[in-house]
Amino acid sequence: MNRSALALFLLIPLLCCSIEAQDAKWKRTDSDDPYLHRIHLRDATGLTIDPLDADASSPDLARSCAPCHDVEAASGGLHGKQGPDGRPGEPWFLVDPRSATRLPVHHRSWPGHQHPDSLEMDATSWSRSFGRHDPALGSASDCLVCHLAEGYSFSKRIEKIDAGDVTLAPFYAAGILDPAGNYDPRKFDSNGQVEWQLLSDAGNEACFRCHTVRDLDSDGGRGWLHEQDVHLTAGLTCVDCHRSGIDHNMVRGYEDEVHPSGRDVSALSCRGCHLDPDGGGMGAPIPQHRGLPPFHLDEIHCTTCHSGPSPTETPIQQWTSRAHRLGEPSQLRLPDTPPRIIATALLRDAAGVIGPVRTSWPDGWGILDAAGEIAFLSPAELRRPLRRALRVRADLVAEVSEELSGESASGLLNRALQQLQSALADGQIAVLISGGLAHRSSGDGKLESFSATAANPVHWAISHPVRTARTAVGAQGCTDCHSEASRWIDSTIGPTTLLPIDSAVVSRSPLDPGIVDRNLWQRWTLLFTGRDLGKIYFTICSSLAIFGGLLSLWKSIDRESS
Amino acid sequence: MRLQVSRLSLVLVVVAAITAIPGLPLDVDLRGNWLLLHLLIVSPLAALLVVMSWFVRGRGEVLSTLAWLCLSIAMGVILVPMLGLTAAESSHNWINGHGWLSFLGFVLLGWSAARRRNAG
Repeated sequence: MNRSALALFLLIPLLCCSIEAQDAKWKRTDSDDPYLHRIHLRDATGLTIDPLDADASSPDLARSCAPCHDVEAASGGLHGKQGPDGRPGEPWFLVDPRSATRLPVHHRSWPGHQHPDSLEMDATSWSRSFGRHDPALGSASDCLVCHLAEGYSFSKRIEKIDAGDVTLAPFYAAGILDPAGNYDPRKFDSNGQVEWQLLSDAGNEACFRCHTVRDLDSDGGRGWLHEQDVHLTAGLTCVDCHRSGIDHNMVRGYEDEVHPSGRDVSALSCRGCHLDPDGGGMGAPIPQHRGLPPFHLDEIHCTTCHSGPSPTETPIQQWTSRAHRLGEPSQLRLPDTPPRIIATALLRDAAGVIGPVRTSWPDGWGILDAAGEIAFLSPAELRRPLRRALRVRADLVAEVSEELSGESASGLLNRALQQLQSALADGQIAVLISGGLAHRSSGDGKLESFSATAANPVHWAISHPVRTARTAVGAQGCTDCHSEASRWIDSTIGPTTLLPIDSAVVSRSPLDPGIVDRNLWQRWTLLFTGRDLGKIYFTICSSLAIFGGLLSLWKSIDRESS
Repeated sequence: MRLQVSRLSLVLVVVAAITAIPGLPLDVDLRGNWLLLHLLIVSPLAALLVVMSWFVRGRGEVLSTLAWLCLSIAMGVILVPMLGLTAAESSHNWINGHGWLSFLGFVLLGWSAARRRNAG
């Protein structure tokens, strides 16, 4: 017994030492008070840089942060394309005007998303295409884009990454390097150190750089439809819910999320925070949903009524930072700037729960194999054949679509398909995907359209902005949904084709098969026309029946006792 | 006439009980077409309960009267969530209460009938 106690006595300090040693590797203040960073910049070899030295080497962000932070861990996590795939999120869109390609791309294996490898995208081409809105800079990360609270020019970052200056882009954006690529001495103190207000939560604006969503009204205008998320209005910040540690396994916040750390993050979803007993963080109110039959909460995601733009009779088009290069000053961003993203479509998820999604249809060229699978071709593979067949120089849509229409356009596109076909093996067929359909050469100079999985749209859930309770669907009563005049049933959407060919433009409604049972919904809608009268009727009947019943009971007891 | 009203009420109570079966087990609330059917059945039953309470059961036995009273109270209980007097999450309890009271009324009706048959 004494030996065990002695062993334990010796073991505890040892354990403590080893844990302390792990923690001691990285500096932490462990205070809520932000730490003002006054640091030396370092080059790729880890040596400190003297900004006044005319031969000073280029700065390296990972090396500069590494003395105090685990930059390797920070570059990964869910925010760094690692960890489980989870629920489909927003794709990147590979937009190539020369081949009229608009493909949803992602490293994760989500339905309908093309993997960068399948499009021959390596890290360099990824950075050139998407680095502008991706915190990853090759193998490292741009810590500043998310954590530098002040003095970061996001548009400068985009400009430099587009110019191919990927690794130095953060330093240009932070003003450390002037436009000529020299160190700006005003950014350094007399010790050659730079002073940065780097915060774990650098404010919502840091998140908005890559996660802004802008609604476009029917005139293509914007601004009038903008709604601030109710949580932000209440004073919360994005990372209050979307939490992470240095591993950057950012909580995504959807129900049933499995966090890579193994932590229970259910209290950080809408339902977990607002309805579950473990929730209630940050003063989250418990919604009453008075009069709402409780099974609605089982069959419908909170976001269906509370998130995204209010349903309208026309589809709501959206721009997103990543898809439409928001943050970059531009006069060329127009309502028809691809990709076309439509919001407020309703879909059932894998668990059968209805929720709102954003939708976008792919456009591109591919190869149909004998198994019926379509593999998309990368813009690089298309460049030569399309130039040869169509004489396309810069913009296929502009050069073909606007000049030709109808059969002449079909004939031209058919020629492009035949050109692609000439390089294919037996059993392979060149196809054009556009407008929700696949098209192949019919052999007589025309295009033959057919349905294909590859032509189906990609969907990703709408979670923000969360609207106030008063502006939620259903706030005006049951007939917000259960009425022929309900706006959500008329949200007719369909794919549009970039080129003047047939598309699968069909009305899509939540009452389509697999989403909401149309017959059942119509029966209930009929019933809801007299719902208020029904309530009055049942209240009167109930009151009279209970009162009469009590009277009868009293009489019966009185009679039996006498 | 009283006998006919009584019989019709009984039939409706039985049919209403049958249409409520898809709402089992507890906390799986009745929904969809079955709820629609249930509402269709109980709409005339509500009026019949008033008739039964005021004009038919006045001279009945205690057990039978108690059974109809249970059914009437069950109708009152379901009005609480229906009128939005409680939160959606608490509605389960009221719906369960409605179910249990209806079931109790149903059992009491059966017991009352059995007693009457035994009494000859």
